[in-house]
Amino acid sequence: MKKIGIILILIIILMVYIGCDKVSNPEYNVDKSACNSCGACIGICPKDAIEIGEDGKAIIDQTKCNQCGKCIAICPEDAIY
Amino acid sequence: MKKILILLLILFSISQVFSDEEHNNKSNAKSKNKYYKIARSLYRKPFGETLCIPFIWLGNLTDDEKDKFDPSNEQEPKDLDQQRRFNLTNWSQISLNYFTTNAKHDINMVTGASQEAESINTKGKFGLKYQHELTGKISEEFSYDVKEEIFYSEKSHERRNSFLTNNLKLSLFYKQETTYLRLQFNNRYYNPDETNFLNLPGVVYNTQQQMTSSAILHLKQDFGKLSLNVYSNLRDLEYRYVVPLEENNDEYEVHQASDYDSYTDAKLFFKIADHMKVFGRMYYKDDLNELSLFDQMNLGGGFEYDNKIDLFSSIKAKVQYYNNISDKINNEQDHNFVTQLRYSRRFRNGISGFVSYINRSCYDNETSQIYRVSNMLRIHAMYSYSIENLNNSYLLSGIKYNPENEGTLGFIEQNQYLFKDIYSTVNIKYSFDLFTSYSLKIEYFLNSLQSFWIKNEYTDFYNIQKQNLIYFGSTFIF
Repeated sequence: MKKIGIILILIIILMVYIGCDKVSNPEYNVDKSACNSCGACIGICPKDAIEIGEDGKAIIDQTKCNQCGKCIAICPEDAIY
Repeated sequence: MKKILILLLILFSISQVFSDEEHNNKSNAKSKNKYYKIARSLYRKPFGETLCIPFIWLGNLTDDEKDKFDPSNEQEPKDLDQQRRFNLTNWSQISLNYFTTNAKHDINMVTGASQEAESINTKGKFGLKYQHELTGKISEEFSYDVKEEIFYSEKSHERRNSFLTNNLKLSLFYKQETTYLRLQFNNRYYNPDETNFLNLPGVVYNTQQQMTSSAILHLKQDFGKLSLNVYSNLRDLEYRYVVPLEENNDEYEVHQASDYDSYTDAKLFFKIADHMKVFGRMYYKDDLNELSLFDQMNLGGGFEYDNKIDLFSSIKAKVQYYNNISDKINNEQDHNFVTQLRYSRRFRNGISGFVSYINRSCYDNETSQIYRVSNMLRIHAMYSYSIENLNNSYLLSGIKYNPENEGTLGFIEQNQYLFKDIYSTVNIKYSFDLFTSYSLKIEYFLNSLQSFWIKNEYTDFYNIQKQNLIYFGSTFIF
């Protein structure tokens, strides 16, 4: 219970941290613990900015990504954030 | 100053979590001989499909049995274990989809322009998807994996760029106690006559994907407390682009082009304590084309904590810093911080779940400001329950909070045993900014490895398109 409390406090602190300004260019990344390696995002990306990474999970090439957001809508595990 | 205090507070909280875990480890060791109920196992297959297999064991487990039935490991069914004696496993799925709605708009195949005013008659159009995975062992050390996916649709599909694609992956693995090596070749082919030209923001011409090939090398080597992880990927992108002729905007010139990219990701880990590692990382992306516009270099490091406390709970944490060097990325993202936390827990009454949080922030030297790149909080809870003495149904619910990238959503899914090896799955997903989807799937299991299913999926992509698809499919493992 103490552990859960600490984690919740930690989350609240980090939420306060959200108070910072948002970066001017959005950036998408993949939550590797949620990605199931289905490759759907790779197939939909119009810029070929997504590839398979070292652990078989998707990674986004930030230099090529144009933030169209198609990968977010298609991901069956909602792993892109 | 305030930001530094917050950071210190976060680090202090993390250290408190770790010290608390050590205490829990000791107390959990005392309760090893208690009764355990292994609720169920979700046997997750590639390509995002989940095959649910009833899996129940009640009783007083020995330590060996507990390891065997550890729910955190993905257990394979016994039938499949027997098949593995032949060192060969096939997983195959074929599905036919049928559109019952008209598209609100379609994309011009040549110019990429959206024809929003027109309603295209797509009702009654078909699509086909075939997926196959073959895994096998050559010897104790060597194994291989072949994945193939063919997708065809008569209609422009909101979830695809092409009407016809073929995706092939060939992998060869070498595994020893301290060495892991993977050689992989990927090829994605888009039928040139049936692929959309894409009108990308900021790009003056429309592009059409043709083919992507990549060669991957991945090496992991352990040297006791030290371990090395090197990944390299060489990509070839084939595409076409159209340029309108100046005199007449209705005429276009089509050009063929190739791009080459090279990715290298190297990490060096050092184990400083039980469950804890520090690491240094170098990521280098080399744009091998003439202008090298898309080069990128990341240098950084951090620490990882991964502790499976007992059969029922685990905690993971990762804190990372990296310096970003690239002309294509704004200066404000030169210094990046990533914090990840994940706590998962199972209870004996069939309830399980996890809380996961990821924060990405960056620091701008020029303005001395910290910016938030992305925050994601994810909470999932699952309740497994029995019907007719089979613990084979579940209710799963979750939320994802991601305010920066319009990724906030909630979902609920119920998998229910109906009768005589027939299961139903209902899924409702509501995204605040992107879409709402509803699906119903009825699946009949011939046995634990083979099934037939029918599925209806309705998706409303806000302000873009509403589509309803009926799928007929089968899944086989042999």
